[in-house]
Amino acid sequence: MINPLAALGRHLDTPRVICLVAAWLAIGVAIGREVGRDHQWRDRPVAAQVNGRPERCLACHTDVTGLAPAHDPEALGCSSCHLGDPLAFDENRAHAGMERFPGDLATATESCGQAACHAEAVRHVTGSLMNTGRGMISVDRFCFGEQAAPDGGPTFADLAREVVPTPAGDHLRRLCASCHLATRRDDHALDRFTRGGGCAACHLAEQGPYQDPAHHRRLTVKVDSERCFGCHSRSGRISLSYDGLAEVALGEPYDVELYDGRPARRVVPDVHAAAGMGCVDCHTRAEVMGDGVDHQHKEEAIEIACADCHPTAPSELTPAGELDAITRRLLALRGWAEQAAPRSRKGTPLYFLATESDGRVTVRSRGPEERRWVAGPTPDDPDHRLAGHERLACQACHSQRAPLCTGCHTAYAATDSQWDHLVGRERAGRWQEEPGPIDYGPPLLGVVADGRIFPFIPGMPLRLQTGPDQPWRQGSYFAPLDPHTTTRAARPCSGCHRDGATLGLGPGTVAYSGPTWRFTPAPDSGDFDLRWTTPDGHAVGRATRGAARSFTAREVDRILAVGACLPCHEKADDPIYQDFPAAHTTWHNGRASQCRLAPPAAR
Amino acid sequence: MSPLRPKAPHGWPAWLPSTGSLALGCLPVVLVSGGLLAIHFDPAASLASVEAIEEVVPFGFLVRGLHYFAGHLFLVLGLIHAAARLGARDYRRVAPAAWGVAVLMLPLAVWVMLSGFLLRGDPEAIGASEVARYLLALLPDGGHTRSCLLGTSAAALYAQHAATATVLLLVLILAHARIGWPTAHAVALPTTAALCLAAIASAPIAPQGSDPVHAPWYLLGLQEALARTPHPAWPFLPPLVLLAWLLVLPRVTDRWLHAALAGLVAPYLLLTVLGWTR
Repeated sequence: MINPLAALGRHLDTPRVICLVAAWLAIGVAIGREVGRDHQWRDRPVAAQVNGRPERCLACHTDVTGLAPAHDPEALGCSSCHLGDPLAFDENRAHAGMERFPGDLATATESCGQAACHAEAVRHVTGSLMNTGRGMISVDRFCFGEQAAPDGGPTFADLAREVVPTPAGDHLRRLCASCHLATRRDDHALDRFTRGGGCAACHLAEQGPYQDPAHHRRLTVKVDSERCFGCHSRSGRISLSYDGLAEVALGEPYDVELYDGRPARRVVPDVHAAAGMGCVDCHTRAEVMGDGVDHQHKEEAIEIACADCHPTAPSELTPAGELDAITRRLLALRGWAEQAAPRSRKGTPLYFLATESDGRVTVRSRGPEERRWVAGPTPDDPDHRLAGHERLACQACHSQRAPLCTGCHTAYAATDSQWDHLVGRERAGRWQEEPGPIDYGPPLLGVVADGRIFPFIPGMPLRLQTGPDQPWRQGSYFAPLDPHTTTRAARPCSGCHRDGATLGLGPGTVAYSGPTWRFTPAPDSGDFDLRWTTPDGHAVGRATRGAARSFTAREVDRILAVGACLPCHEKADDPIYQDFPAAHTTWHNGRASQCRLAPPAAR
Repeated sequence: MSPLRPKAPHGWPAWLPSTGSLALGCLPVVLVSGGLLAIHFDPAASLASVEAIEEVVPFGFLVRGLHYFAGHLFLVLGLIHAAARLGARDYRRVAPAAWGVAVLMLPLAVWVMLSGFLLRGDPEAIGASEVARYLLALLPDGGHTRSCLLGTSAAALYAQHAATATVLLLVLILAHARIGWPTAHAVALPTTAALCLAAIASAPIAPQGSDPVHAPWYLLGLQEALARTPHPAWPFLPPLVLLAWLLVLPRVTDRWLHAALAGLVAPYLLLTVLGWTR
């Protein structure tokens, strides 16, 4: 009989036993490792399959909240927007190449703008004025004397490639480029100071500092006007004006201190602001995010018009079934039903407008709050039918005020340093602005490219010194602007027909001697010439658009000539305005017996 | 061609198979573990799939460790075997063709090992791949060798590692060993050793941003030589000379054998140590 112990003993010293023991020990250790291993990777990829691939980011970034279903991490993962390596198992590799600020235009084609997401939107935004800054750059270079016309200038991307910036390029890089949409963000804070960040500049909701990484900021198409305020409260100050704020010079009485310390007084807000409308309630996606056209100036990008909500005639509607893909997608994002919609002047379906049978238009808010407003049609009354006023833009009469900067000293100091927004670092040299008093009043009027009479403001009236040893150069420039200070009541007729300043003649008074007007300039009160033109049509200032102009001498004369009649004929339905030239001829021939002004024949 | 039947060195334990047999004994576990790894390995996403094998596949770390450590044991044991046979002057006792087969196995084994290293797809593998492509581009063959060895994608390299080069190596090994299958002892010992190593240690994956990037240990000397010579071709001359010398060894006197080996191998070992400590 075999003794098993003896048999085992005979083999104890053999390599086979050693191998067996070692192998079993190793297997035991391996089982221990397997059992004791963190199984997060084995479990998570099954739960987080994104487009057929495991998304391991979610193993660490658990329970991320704040995102709407369209950007739910369980549906998109993290890497779809934040890039990095979703297949990696360690933090360093997973975060290599990560985009902390998706939507930044440097990487937007890989994040928001990838083919399956918002490719067209990113392409359009990249070419939009908020990214190219063409208008701003052209005008700045024009005012610095670096280009002959205020159109056709380079983009911010072009400026960034300049090895040695020109004075205007340098000025733009330091004082203007922060509002450039491609400016790189460096934190997740969201307030009026934050600039740039591409898509995130507008589409992140929830104001304030970023505190909880597990709570992702909400992405939204319902853009709050706060997102616009930071950039658009400067220069033309439309955000301020719209909200009923008027910036005043330091030291003057003020009601409000703005986010950046500028003092401001409370004034009457735009009638639309008073009704609770925000920026996106009027301005369309194509205007703000670009329409694929390389526009030179902002008015070329604008497609919304007052008449879209206040029509003068019944609008032609696009049937619901014929809406384009982008419009249908926007409707779906908002959860709105498809319906017939009027089109903008560029043909974009204005899906947020509903034309009622009585001619009124219901405007549905595209902002954060679900609201509706009913807008009446433009009245078909004598004021709006007044002969000779066909070229007037609505803003020419219905803008109550605009910022009328009296001038700005702008000088360059080579010995100081200042932040360069295009390279994101401090560089030698500094531009210092010493603004003069900011006046507010009815805007000037001038003629824009399409022949309409439109509000203008002094745009960059400056005295400029590009270096300590350089001579000061002075310029008076006038920029077309929708002041965003709309009132229901129009400015009085005398505001144009008896006011030289409105017509670009500068400060002064218009006096009438019978039917003859005479403009007397105010005494020179400073080193800035606020005249755009003279009564004899001599151009003093320049428009900041190549095709815009001040009134000609003939136009000034015709406008002011009406002023002679206004004291007695102040209503638009006055018979003399039905055919003013004919009435004038009647008076001139001495056949207007009731007129207090003596005709030439009687003198 | 006469078979190689080397005598065991003096004092070699009777129960311990020869180093050649042990090297041969590594092959079953290398082949089996390689076959298992192939189920989960994706050459198009090599690093991700290697990491998935390590982290997701049940006992994947063990299988990969077996493949890695058994492969390295094969190379180490093969080198010891070659050194021992050289020391025993076996080249005198075998036919030149058999000797030539034995010598050619050395670079082929290194290539199979290197292809496995490159397939990891980690920063070290990417760095090594770039160096290899650069060096092969220096050959005056219009990039033909580079295309043959590395191909244009990881899939081509994978085919080299999993099929072409490995099958060729196996053919040479079988021709060299003249036996059908290693003994149970010869398989069990290296398998157990590989199993123990795989159980307690993980096959490496270089972390992102590894700096400096190390070549595999058997090419560290070459990497160091490349870093220290003005022309990238120079470091390849000594190994090529050594290989040529080994190939013709049966036909020439071995008076200078030890001096030649010492003159070529010792600097390489020194460079390897320097590269390791860099």
